[in-house]
Amino acid sequence: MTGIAMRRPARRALAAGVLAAAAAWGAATVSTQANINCEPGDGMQRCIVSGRITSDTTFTADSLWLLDGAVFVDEPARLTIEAGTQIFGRSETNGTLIISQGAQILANGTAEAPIVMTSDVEVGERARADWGGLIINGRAPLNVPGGQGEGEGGTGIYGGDDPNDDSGHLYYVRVEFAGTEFSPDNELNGIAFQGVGRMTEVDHIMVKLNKDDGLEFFGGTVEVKHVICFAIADDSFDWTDGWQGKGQFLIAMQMGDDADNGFESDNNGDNNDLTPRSDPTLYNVTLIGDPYDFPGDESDIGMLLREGTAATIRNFIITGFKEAAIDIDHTATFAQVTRGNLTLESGLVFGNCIVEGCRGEFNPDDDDAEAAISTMDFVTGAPNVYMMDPVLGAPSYLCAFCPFDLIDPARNFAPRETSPAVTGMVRPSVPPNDGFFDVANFIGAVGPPGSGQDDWFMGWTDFSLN
Amino acid sequence: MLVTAALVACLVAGGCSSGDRLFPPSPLHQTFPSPDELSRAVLAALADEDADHLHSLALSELEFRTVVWPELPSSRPERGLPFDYVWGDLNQKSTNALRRLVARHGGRRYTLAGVAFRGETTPYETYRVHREAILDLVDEEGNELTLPLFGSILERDGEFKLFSYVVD
Repeated sequence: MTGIAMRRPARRALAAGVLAAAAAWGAATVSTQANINCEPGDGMQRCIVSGRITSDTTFTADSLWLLDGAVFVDEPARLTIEAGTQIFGRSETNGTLIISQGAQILANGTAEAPIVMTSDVEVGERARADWGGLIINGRAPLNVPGGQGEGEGGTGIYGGDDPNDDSGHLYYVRVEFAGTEFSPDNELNGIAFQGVGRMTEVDHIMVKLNKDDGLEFFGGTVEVKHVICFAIADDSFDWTDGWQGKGQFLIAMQMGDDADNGFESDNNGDNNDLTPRSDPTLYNVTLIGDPYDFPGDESDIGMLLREGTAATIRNFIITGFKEAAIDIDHTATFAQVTRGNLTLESGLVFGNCIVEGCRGEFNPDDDDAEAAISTMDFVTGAPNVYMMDPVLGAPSYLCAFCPFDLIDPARNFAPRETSPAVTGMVRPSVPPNDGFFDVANFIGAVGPPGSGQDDWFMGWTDFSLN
Repeated sequence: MLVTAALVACLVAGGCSSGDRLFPPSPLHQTFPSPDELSRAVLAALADEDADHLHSLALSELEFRTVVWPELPSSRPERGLPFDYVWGDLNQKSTNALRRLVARHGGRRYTLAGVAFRGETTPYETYRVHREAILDLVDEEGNELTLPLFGSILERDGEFKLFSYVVD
């Protein structure tokens, strides 16, 4: 039971009730929708979904679901997805799932039976950008002029004035091989949270091998927990336009064939001081870059903080990024540092800045020279932040390239017994007791055995590369 | 006239889809014989804070529609993606990125030391796209910088044109 679920038991019961009702209703329910066509398959019924879903609908686990083109769930419809359901984005038609403002997705995966949204290409041939991904449009605030934005690829309006907006929930969901390319320089994110409100629950999600960012937050207040972004081609986590949510237990693991930053963190690119300002609160973060030349020379910066973002970041690990661990850009961002609105505490930074020409863990540049405090002074002066090996993953005699090994099944994000993340050498920050955060007395996204957070990334995830 | 003829031919042939060439390929304007020359043109316009000229160095709607779009996988009829979606989205992002570029680097005089590409080169039927340009620069104080000032570069018939200002 997670903190999120305990916080709102009534909602969860409601969701369970809806699920049970839908299950009793059965497949005949969905077949009445004109844009859902089901036919018997080899063993499992196959349902092709297209167009707009305008009434409550259930994707059942006893069928395979194919998204044919952009599939919108429109207000007031709720799309319920049973545990274990497999949803395929049709590569030929850029299959994409879009939850419009006022609609809801109720994704009821479990650790034993996660919901998988993946490519319809044959296993072994799957690749980034095979299909679109998941887009959720809410009515929470953002800071673009007028308070509303228009989603990428004509995927609808998002943003509004309700920080408590509720787009449903995502429990144990994997989004794989998505991020279709519209043209060079323009791809979709794995999951785009666009003006999504904090009553939306997100717990245990994985985005794998996406062509653009793994998760991107365009404003909003949504809170996320237990997230893995694996081998993402652009930024693993990206926020902009005034995201004011929370996050805990966040892992990024990059593959250097195509990767940018662990965090790319912006307020607003056109006016760095627009409000509401991006100001997330994030605890227990592990950002693992790819320090090797093979399969490629990318994987740049652990945390790129810029364009006026504020943030509270605690209990973090950054390791293996080729250019730098942390880089702060733009005067408005440094202003957030000096005002105490952009703060770091309790972290381990190690083994970043690997390529020729890089300028150290904290990438001193023009912005640093002009700022009242440089990135290096800011980070090294932060409480309980040390440049020490976090000692993650299996020991080298079991896994030579851990914690950076992308394919060895011995891969493990957990700190070993000798890690300063768990020995008390680095004092963790205590998360707020606000109903969202879990108690976590360690540094990084994964705790030691007995912490209750040592294996949350196992079982429901999948790290295969194609 | 040519456009009309192409449109009629397309309709007579049994219907026009998004991937068909409704329009003959436009000649590309503001092209350069190498990525270096193109990059120097961008830097010069940036130093002059000439946003209009910078805008003209990137693909126009006509160029995108007639040269690029017909050969993109996303233009295939089965994908059902309207041209306006794709162009509108790219143009919006590129325009925003250009505005940021001028705000951050406008008025600065950089000397180009080299151009590299972090991304792959994608071959299409009549053109290639070199992705994710990175510029090695020297600023007025003699500092060496490596900056991604714009996105990809399109190459056609030995001429180079800026694809967009989108930098991810």
